[in-house]
Amino acid sequence: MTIHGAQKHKTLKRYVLFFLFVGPALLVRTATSIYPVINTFHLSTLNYNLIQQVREFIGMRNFIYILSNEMFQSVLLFTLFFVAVSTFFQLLLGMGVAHLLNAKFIGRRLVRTINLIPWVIPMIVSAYAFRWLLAGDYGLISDWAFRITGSRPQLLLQASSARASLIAVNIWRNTPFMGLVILAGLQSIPEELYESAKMDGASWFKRFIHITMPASAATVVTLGLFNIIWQMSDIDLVLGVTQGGPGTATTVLAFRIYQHGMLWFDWGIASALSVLLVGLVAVISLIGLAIFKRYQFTL
Amino acid sequence: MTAESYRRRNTAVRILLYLSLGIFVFIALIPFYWMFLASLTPRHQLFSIPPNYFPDVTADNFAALIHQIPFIAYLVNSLVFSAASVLLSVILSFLAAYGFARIEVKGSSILLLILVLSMALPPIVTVVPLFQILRTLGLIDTITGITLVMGSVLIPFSVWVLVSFVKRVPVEMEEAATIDGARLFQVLWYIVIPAMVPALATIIIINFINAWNNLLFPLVFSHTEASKTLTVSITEVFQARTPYGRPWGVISALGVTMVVPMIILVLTAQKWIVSGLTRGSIK
Repeated sequence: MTIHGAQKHKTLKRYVLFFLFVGPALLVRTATSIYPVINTFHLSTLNYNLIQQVREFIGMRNFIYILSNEMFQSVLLFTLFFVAVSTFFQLLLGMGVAHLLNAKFIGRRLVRTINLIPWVIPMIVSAYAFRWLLAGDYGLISDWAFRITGSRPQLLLQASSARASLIAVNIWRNTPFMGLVILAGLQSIPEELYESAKMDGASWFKRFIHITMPASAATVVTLGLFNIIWQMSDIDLVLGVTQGGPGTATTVLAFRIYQHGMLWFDWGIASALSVLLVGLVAVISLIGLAIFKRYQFTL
Repeated sequence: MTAESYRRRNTAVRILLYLSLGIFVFIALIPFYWMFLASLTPRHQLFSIPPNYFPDVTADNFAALIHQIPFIAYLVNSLVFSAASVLLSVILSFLAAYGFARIEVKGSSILLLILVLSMALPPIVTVVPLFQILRTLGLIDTITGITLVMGSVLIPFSVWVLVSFVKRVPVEMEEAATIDGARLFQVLWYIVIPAMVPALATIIIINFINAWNNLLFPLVFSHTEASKTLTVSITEVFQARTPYGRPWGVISALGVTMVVPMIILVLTAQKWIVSGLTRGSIK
């Protein structure tokens, strides 16, 4: 064999080896995730209902129906509102939590462990716990409100307070995770850098903008974005706390997909809603990639 | 600033710090505390206005779990489902991570990017097509079926974390071994895997928590005791109506049995969980 041939042989061997290692994972992901998403695009062009036993091509009519329907419009709007408000407060409070957990105090290890608890409790369990805490008659929170204000608020029975409650529970659940991620960023900064900035008279805010942010940006941006996307995809929270009600006031897109797809077997509409959700996720991911490019992060 | 005023300010900061910590811990634990209390409360004391802060203690709600629902079957299902999902995802992810980190081929980084980005695909979106696929394969209402989809969902994050850990194993060790004529799987078994025990433990724990907490897949693909998990059973108990309203005592008892293993896991493995979630940047 010539030297050139041996080289070629070696390269081929490396490719075969690579696919032996990486192939199984790629195959499983393609079959159970990438293919189904592509299939969803196809299903979204059908009038496909298991109960009415119809399956016919209708082009874009599912989308026209959804986007011109007031209820669906409000579901889409609330989904965006839910994500935007949740993210804002999670970042804000997450920074607070990160700084709190980074301070020196007795029992820090224990408090850092407690910080993980909202994240490791099954979402559906804490959702039910909050549903009970918020219940108008015998809930703990309404009891405290009663002791302070003298009236028992029916938080989950009115649209606006039910929405606020749902978002609050979501913030409760996800803030510790954000805090943890930001804390990771904080800890990757050499202590001396902070100290010398302090000596130079840089304020807390300036230190944060110029030292903390750049150092933690890659992790915060990546995990922050995935966290936002996961919140958009989650149905456990809504299922447990409000079941989308009162009416459809607290219905988010993901929960509506579940209802159409798995409760009413209206697979055409469910798939069209899914395409819209994938679109939203894609927009957020593109923003993320742009930030990555801008700051030249690497995976 | 005088020493006196500095000390006073310092004390104020300390007080503020511990006050914030107290509020933080209180808010983080309140739902679990309330559920734990309720699981021990006798039924007639559950629905009182104002709520009963210091109820009598009973084990009735836990006994009801055993008698009123197929608790043991669901518990076993949850354990098997979680363990099998971990096994599937960790084996495939470790192999993939090694391939991405160590074998240089063209296009490898773009494949890794696609794989990691597939983490963003919302599982709810895949549910209808997956239902059709699993039905074709005869895997509806089987643990195999839900394990397959759950294991798959866990892969991207696992690969993402493991790649960064494989890269930290000194490549010289492997090269030395290869020159000595060791076969690749021997290199993996005797050098790479032992060096990655902490990373693998981390990802095993995180994936176990994720699978244990998963509701969507068993909710959609499981119909009977054959494959329903604890997360599904709590939604069913919630739907049940009793003359007293919702069976909050039983719901709470069930919740506690689901939460306690997770809390034990966090208490014992906190360091590892944190290091995995942040890809090793917190030590």
